[in-house]
Amino acid sequence: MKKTLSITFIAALLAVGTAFASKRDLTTWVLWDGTIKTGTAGDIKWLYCYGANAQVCAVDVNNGYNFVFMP
Amino acid sequence: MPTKRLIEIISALLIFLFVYTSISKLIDYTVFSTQLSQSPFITQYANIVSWALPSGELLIAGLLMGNKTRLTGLYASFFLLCLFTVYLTAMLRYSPYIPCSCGGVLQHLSWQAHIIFNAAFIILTTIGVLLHVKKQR
Repeated sequence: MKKTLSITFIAALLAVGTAFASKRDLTTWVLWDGTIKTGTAGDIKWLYCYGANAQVCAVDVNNGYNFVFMP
Repeated sequence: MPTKRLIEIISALLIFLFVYTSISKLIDYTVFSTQLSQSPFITQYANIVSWALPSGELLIAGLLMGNKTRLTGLYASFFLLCLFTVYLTAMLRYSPYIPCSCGGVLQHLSWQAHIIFNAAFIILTTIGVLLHVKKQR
């Protein structure tokens, strides 16, 4: 029980750490019209890309694969 | 590899998946709930689902941690993964548009890749359930 708990507990702990570590508070984005904005993914979604996620609206300039979508 | 150890590894993988995705959803709660509200099938339940889903995932992770509750956790994982795969397939086939409401790095997967990812975890969970049932006999 103790050993089992430790393996599963480590998995849970790693998951929490990874989730927090992969969260970046402020990100620089290139919007679909070429303008540069800085903010969280949530800010960008609400301010510039609100609506259904039909196409890419903003791209994270730091990695190029983190998208915010727009109608 | 002993059966018990294999079940533990499968449980640990599922715990990692559920805890990681639920925490990612809760950290970026605004985006997650907005994306859910745009999903054509669950728009009217978005508020409930946006809390129930991460809570359910954490609850399942908790069940998988204990020896006595592990089988229940494996069954619940199987149910949730199947439900999500059905949802993904339905969205791909019938939805007029496809939103993204995945947690953490999983949002970088395409929806087709997400279905394959889910299928792999469903197979893993099935193996876990079968081994657990066999061990209990």
